[in-house]
Amino acid sequence: MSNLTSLITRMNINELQVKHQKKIVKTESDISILIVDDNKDNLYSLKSLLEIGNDYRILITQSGEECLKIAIKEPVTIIILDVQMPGMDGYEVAKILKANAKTKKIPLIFITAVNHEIRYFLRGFDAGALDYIFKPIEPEILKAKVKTYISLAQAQNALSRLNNDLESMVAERTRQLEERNLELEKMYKVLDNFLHVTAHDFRAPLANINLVTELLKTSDNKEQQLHLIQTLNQIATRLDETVKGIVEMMEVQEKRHSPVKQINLNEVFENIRKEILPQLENIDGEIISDFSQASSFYYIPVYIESIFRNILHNSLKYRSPKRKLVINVNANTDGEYSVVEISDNGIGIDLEKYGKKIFSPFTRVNRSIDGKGLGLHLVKNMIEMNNGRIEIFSTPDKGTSLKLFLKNYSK
Amino acid sequence: MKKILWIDDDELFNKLLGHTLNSRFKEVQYTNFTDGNKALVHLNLCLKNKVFPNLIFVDLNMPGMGGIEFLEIYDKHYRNMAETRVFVLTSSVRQSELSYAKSIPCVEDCLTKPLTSAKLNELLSN
Repeated sequence: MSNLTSLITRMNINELQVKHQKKIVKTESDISILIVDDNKDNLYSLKSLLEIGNDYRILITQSGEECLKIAIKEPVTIIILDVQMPGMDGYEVAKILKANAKTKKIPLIFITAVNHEIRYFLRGFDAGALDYIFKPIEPEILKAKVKTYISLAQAQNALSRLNNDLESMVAERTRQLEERNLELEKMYKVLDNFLHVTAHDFRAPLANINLVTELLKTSDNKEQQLHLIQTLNQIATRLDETVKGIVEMMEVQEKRHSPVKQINLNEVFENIRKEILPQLENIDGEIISDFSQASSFYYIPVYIESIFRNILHNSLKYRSPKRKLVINVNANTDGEYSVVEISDNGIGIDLEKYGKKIFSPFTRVNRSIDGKGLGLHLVKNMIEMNNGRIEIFSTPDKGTSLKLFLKNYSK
Repeated sequence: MKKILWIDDDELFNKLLGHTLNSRFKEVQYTNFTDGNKALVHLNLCLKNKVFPNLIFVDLNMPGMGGIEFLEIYDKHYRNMAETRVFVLTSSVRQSELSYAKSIPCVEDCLTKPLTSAKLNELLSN
């Protein structure tokens, strides 16, 4: 006691002023010291002693129970704990602190009288104390020890923070890699399927060319020869269409990284409508569009355009010769999706017969109508590449309706 | 007189094979269908008349009833009815698909297109 008070009186007055100014500028320090002593005088002496010249936040209490509460509630850097206290003594407090995950890492310094046997001190170390400070307190030793243990605690905290950061970084990276892996696997399957379908679509006409040439070699009928040559021409045209289709598919893949923009569906649709207007007028077709329920959203513009273009071309191509073509288009919002519905009154598709195949590349329902058989496959690809989905409803000789769920991009 | 039945959705191929048979294999009778269902109806008729084709060629990729589905049904209900030899005839080069087709007991072999006159000759003379 006497030591402490004398120290305070010996204190440099400048130091106090500096401390005072600092307090005004900075109210919260990231270093908090919790002092626990049943003796109020000791408590305040220790508090002032540690405050001088340091930017510490000092918490004080006179009881062990209160110490536990504070240690759990507040971020405490270090605890200075009196061993002899009425009620819960220092050992008991230390044991509870060490048993709690939240407080077990806080360094503990015990305060006790020097005149004890060695096993008394050992008991303290067993309970989790890092060190002892002896009464009567030597201020410089107290300050030096506190400073050392604080830097130690800070270094440890920094290390464990770093460790945590590193662990979460590794976890995040692993997650990204797994995601990428899945994406690649999906891509591989798509490519593998595409490759086989493409190979088939080249081999089939090539096999036919072989048959034709074999027939040509032995044919002595002029008319038949002419017919066979025309057939070769047809096959060449189809092969050319197939190559064009493959180029188109590659272009769609390349657009994957185009910028996302705010989409005004009405505007985009009007542009595509203008594109096909000559063909539409030619066959006296009609498009009825209603975008009043649609709100603007974010998407990759080239995809929307391509989706509209492909679907409208299909409607034109597969119109019914029995009636005037009418295409209905409307849109609304369903959560994070913009839902576009496009219906026509064309020849329709027998979905029971074609099923999922309708979305496969180079599937042409009606071989008497020219086409690459890519439209729906491309549309589905583009929508799914952007995390959306497509639904198809169709009745032969009544028409086809497509429901596009376009997943909105966040801004 | 030998009889051939084949199922393929490629109309051009059907026309060309018909052409080849007409001009080179005048003694062969043939029927062809563009999907499995129609072929099965025809086979029921064969069953009734007890006149089965000698050779059947089946393509694998077809809309409606595909080749595999047809072959599985054929294997279950028609295989023991006649001495018909069944072949897969396709442009597919997908090994998994071909070996699966080959594992169906009624399938004698998988042939890839084109089906040459030489090959046809060989199959018909056996």
